[in-house]
Amino acid sequence: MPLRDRVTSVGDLRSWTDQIPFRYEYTAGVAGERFLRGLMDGRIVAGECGGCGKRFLPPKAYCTDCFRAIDRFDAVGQDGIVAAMAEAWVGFQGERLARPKRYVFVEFDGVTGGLVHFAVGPGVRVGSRVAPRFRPLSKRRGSLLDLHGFAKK
Amino acid sequence: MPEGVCIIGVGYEGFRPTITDVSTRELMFLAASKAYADASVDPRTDIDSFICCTEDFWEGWSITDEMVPDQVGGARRPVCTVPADGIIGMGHAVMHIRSGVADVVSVEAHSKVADVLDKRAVENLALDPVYHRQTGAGSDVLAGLEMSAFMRRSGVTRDDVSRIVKAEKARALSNGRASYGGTLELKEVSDAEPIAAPLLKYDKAEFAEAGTVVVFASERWAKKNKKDGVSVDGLAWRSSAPWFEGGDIMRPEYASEAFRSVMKQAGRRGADSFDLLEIDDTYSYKLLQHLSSVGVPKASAIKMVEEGRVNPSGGSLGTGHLIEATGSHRVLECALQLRGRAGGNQRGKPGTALALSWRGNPTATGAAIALSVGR
Ligand SMILES: [Zn+2]
Repeated sequence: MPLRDRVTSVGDLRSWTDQIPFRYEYTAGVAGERFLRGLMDGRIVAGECGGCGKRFLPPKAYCTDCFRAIDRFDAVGQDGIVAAMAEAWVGFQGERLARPKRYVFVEFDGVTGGLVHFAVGPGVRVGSRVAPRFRPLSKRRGSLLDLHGFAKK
Repeated sequence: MPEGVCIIGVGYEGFRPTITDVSTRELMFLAASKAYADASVDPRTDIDSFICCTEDFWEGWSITDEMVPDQVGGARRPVCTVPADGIIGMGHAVMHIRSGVADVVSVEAHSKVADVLDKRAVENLALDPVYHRQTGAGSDVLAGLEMSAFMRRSGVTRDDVSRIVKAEKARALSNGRASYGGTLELKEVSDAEPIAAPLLKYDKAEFAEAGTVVVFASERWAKKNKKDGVSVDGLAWRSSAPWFEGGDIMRPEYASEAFRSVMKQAGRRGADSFDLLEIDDTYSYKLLQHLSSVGVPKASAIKMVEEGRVNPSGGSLGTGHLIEATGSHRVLECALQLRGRAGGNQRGKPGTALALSWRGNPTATGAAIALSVGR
């Protein structure tokens, strides 16, 4: 009997509630900076490896395959294709949503990876050709949310 | 030939949605006590190295590895934490033994996840802060997205995944370690409330709590000390790119490559060469995707799940998700089956078993282990 003295009445159960109140300021980094500044300019920026030519979205400062530094960052084409779609009825904090949020995963020609973002407007389905919808220039802050999401072309 | 390694004891405690009467550390102590009794070893003198698989955020305790030694019998001894799935921790045990660092190693993994009041906050903090987190697309949204793409590419239908859920829930009814067994109609599964459609309520494993300890030894030591063991024929783990970073959606590499390496080590040909398989089913469609990764096509996969050759335990959908102890649970079920001690869900006298784990979204990390008895 590894533990001899066990709690056998619910009334005797005790617990202690506490929290870990940490805050962070995440550095966007070399590639992240290019990406976020690109969004402010209304462009989606990918990184291209000088060794194998592979293009990555989101951009990285190093190649997954070659382990080479990446220093070429260019905008992807304006059109993407919806490769996956989900209708979220549960929010980020676990709350039940009255109206679902529609998420898409959008891929771009010749680019490895893609972006998870919102579907904007009607008619967006898996396989749809879509284009990014940006916030008005004055409201862009250099964040992923400078993009409203993707709308059907 | 590298040194042979075997499992000489297993112990567990809990396997409930919530365990309210013992603390995390007491849970570990109870599981360890049972495993050491099963292996007939004294941790203070017989065990050379202790490994604990855990993550600080799930513990709610910073640098939690410092709080590990006492409750597993490892005070003033070599103890380390592997912040990963249990099977990866077992990989470190195999390395300790093969390198000559240790003859006997204890691997602990647990879930005390009901203590985590903000489970979603922990999961959400796993998302990339710059490229991903701000849209609020959490683990389940990623799963819903992947499920939609996988179903489209593979031809897997809603009915197919509902059959997986139904079979695993039914099997879990005869497993004393399973918290989420039940008799469900296909329609009930297919019409359940959406989480991130196409992902519905029953497609996702609910959380459960348990402590698990597995004791490994070199075959030389086991022989010398006259202990029967379950042989570890192969063990491997891999991290690849997740599908949303360009990984393969039909055959995720973390699974296919870990499996390929295990097959090579074990000298086996394919998934069909195992009497039973415990394969990750954190989400219903992931079971079909993981089986596809190890070369089992859809039609055979569904049949193997319904017959109980895959996930005789009821899997995570039937047992509950045990965070970092999820892989350990699969190994525990395999070891119990191979020793004929799995209880209500014992499947005859299996000689070989494979366990395959996935670390959950947003990771592309998985591990595999091949086990056998009576070689
Ligand atoms: Zn490259």
